[in-house]
Amino acid sequence: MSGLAPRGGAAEARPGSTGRKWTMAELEQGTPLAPVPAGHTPLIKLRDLSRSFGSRQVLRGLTCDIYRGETFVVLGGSGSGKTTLLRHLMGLLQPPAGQLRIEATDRHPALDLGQADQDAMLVWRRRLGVVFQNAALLNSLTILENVGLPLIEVDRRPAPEVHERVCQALRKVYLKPEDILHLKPAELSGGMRKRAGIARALIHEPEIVLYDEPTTGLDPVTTTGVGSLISDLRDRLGVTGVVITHDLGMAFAIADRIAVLHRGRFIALGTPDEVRADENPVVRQLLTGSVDGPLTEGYA
Amino acid sequence: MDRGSSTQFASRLARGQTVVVEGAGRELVQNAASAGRALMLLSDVLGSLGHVPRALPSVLKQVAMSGFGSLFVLALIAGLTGMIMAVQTGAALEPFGATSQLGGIIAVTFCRELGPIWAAVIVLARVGAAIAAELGTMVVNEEVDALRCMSVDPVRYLVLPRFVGLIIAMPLLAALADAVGMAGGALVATTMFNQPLETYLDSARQFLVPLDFYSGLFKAAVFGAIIAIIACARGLGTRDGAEGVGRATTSSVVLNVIFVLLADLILTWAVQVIVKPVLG
Ligand SMILES: Nc1ncnc2c1ncn2[C@@H]1O[C@H](COP(=O)(O)OP(=O)(O)OP(=O)(O)O)[C@@H](O)[C@H]1O
Ligand SMILES: [Mg+2]
Repeated sequence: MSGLAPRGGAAEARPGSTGRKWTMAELEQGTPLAPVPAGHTPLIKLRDLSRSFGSRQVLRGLTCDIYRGETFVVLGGSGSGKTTLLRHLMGLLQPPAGQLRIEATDRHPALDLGQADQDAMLVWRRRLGVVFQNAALLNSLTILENVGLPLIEVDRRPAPEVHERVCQALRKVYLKPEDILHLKPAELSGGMRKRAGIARALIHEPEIVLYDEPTTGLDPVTTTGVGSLISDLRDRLGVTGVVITHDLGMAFAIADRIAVLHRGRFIALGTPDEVRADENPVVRQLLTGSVDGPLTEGYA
Repeated sequence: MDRGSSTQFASRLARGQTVVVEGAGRELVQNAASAGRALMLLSDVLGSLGHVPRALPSVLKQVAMSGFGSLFVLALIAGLTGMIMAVQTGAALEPFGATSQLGGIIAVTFCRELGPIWAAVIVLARVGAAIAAELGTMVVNEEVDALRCMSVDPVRYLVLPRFVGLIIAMPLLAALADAVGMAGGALVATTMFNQPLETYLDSARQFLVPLDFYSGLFKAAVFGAIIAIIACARGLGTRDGAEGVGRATTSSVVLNVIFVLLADLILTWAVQVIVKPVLG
């Protein structure tokens, strides 16, 4: 990767920097809200989104806009709160009023997820497709019933249409429908389950898709395939994507913007090039995968 | 034991007691919380009863799973209990030459009490525990979260079919237990106490009133509702992974035993003190 500093000591001076040592507070400093560039409209507005579990602060004030039709990638170490962020977007965790707002579109009114009632939540979730970190397929249903569930239970489409659309969705994630349609999730490999989970998230043609590590456990070929599927959805249908991933190659290939989550804040946020050039040692360590740096300081 | 090791033992004992008391307290709080959740779930599921027609296939699946699955064990237990009762009661009646009354006594006991209760015990142990474990596992695997994200209401999709299914299955099972229990009693009456089958049946007909039979079936339906709601509430309230699933399963059985017996007491009282005088 170009533009990256050679490996150095923890928060040491790097070429191009002023040579000063980064304090803890600077390392964890959240990025300020950037002005919306021309040609973009915010769809999801995070304003100081915070969440604690007991005494443990997981999100400590996330502020940013996610624009309509962009692919927004979130990087961050394990346990940094990425899934927790997505659970707020899904409405499984309710933020305080004002911290998480969805802007109005021509088809839907604006929505504050902190104050949404049950009906508003149903409408919001109908607009969402969610890929769970562990696929979360229903074990008692076949793949056909699983992937077709939104069509069967919510849209109430007739069986032949469900069958047809499930087959299409499975082929998009490189699964052969004829082989697996009538199997239960337990009879599939982990990677196949994951891809079936992606097919289920996309089947009702959602406007926004949340991907929690969509390619973890996939082979390199299907990983590339899923990456181009995400980009394709954005380009053809204008789907807004929020993608959590540990796969840097895919992140930089598909992202319009990348946010780096560290200790509950976005410590870097910008286009792939901007993030690549970021000076924060935590960001640099995440991008290089080096074991020397502030992320691993104090262990061993 | 020297002094050192005895104080060590005492402190370990004290620690053990603290753990036990803490554990008991926690369990009490948890059970109270699940009882509260069960009430809320009951109101939710009553609110979604309008969706039963659409859920009919899964309702029938639940009836079949809980009903047929429990048939054999229930029949075995009811038959044995009928026989045991006949032996005990027959032995007590024999000195008075009253063994001809066996049919009536066994019929009334089964229809009013033993049929519904045995059905409840079998179903809460087999089906209730299975429901709690299944839903608990679904929670742990984020399947329930996934349903919510797809705008599928877990109450309507998961709880409603189990609730209605058990309300249908339980009276059928209770009626079966009534019949098999009476048959077991008849076997003993005819072979051990040399009663003609006719006498046994006549006595049953003489003692048994329709209210006994129907109130028993009604109780069974109520037990079915209780078992389903408590098992679902406990399953959906699962926390902390696989260990939590185990806890949910156990406590659903314990809570169900308590609440089924409580309901039995209240309903039996209501039938005997309120309904019976009204019907004359
Ligand atoms: N329901 C919960 N109760 C208590 N703590 C929680 C809960 N959910 C998450 N946490 C804590 O919040 C932190 C962030 O968890 P989260 O799942 O968001 O991490 P993540 O960034 O998705 O990590 P990974 O990359 O490993 O998936 C973790 O330390 C976790 O222990
Ligand atoms: Mg995660």
